[in-house]
Amino acid sequence: MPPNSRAVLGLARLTLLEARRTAVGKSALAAIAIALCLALFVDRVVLTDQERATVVTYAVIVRLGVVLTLGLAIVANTVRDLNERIIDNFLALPLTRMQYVLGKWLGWSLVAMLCALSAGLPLLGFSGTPGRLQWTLSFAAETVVIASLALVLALALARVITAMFAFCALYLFARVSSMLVLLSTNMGADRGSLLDRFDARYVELAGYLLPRLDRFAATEWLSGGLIRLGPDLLQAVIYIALLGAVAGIELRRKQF
Amino acid sequence: MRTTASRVRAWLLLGCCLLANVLFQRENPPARIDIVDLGTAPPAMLVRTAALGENAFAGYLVMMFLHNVDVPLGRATPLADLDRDTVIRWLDLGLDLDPETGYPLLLAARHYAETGTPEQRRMMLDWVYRRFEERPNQRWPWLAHAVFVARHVLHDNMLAEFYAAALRTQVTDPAVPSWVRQMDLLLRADLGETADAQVILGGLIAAGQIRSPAELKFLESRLSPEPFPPSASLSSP
Repeated sequence: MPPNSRAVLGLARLTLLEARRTAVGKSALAAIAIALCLALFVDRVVLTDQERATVVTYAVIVRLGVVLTLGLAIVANTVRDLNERIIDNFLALPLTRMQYVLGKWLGWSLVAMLCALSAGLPLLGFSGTPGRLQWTLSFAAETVVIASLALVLALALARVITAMFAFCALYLFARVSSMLVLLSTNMGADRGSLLDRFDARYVELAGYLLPRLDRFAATEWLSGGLIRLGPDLLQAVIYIALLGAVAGIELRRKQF
Repeated sequence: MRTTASRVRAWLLLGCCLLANVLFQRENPPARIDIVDLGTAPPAMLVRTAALGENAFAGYLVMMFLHNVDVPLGRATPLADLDRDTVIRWLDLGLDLDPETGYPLLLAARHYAETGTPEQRRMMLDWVYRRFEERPNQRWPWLAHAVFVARHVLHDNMLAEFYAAALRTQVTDPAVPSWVRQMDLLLRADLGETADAQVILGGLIAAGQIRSPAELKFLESRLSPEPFPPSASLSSP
């Protein structure tokens, strides 16, 4: 194995150890436990469709919990590496900047996938629910995408609050962009005033810059809806490559 | 002395502030709510966007809100005091967000249709019927309950027959229990409309919806006083 590859894999392993040391796994498990408790509470409250309501509630809350936990962990860890100049130690090695980012990305992607698979485990208790495996795999793809996004934002912005704010805003917009486009079309924005048309085009263009996260791990899959896993995986590959390109440009610009 | 005096002043200040806070709270008690104002239901698209596209989850939240809105903070509001038009708009919102669930229909048929004035109950049954027509094979249980409410609570036999006829003609899924389509027949037999019941029974037989000879015998026994003419040959599955 070439020495650079060994260094990248070693960096990935170090990232895993760092995630373990900063209790990222425990935080994700706590988020999963909270989601499960809230879902079981809903099970007691609803009058009908108990299993469906429980599964739907769990899927929605666990997605938000795991995404926010991962985003915060990645941003905080990366910004700490930048501020405490830990990154300089790695760049002093025969590693390019992109190889450094690749090593971090491999480590965090593995953490993200482990968190997603852990989130899918409680669904095993709902034997009547369809699409559990596909939902879990799609959620794993989603967490890898958002881990990549958090890493790029942290490297680019180098501030925890700014990067988290940007992360949350981009994630929310990626979830609702398709609905905003539909909303503006249904309200006749494309036939309205110049400002309305500008708004409609602006929202549409912004939507093209982000992944369609509303397609990943759709809750409808757990209610018997149509399952389409292939497009999610393709979207994940495309967007991760896009983020890699953004990271490459950003690292060339940055002064460490 | 100076330390004791300052300590006493500090405690005195704390006591005065606490007293001021208590007096302020007593002068401004929380508003008591006698009748809950449901408010206008938000547009479905807005709710979908606010819920980040999680329509089923938003639907359940809306229904849990509607189900519990009459008991805010432990003080119950009579269901009859809730404006039925507003309730229907909220039920429409819940069903539009999540057409797969039966929660709104359950609330309408078993919660709101069993309280209030006859006009209020009819409004809820009418809503159940309208939404039943969209997915009869899925939503028949609540229209079946509407037949019961119309017949035994409202004592409106015409309305009960109307709903039962809708169940017979619009529910086509073979997996649905046969008694659902036979409600019309049994209802008319109960009401003494034997001739109509016989016609309906003939139609059910011709359509192959009477599944077994025992079932046919049972249904015939409900048609009294005239004996039923010899039935057509029955091809049971």
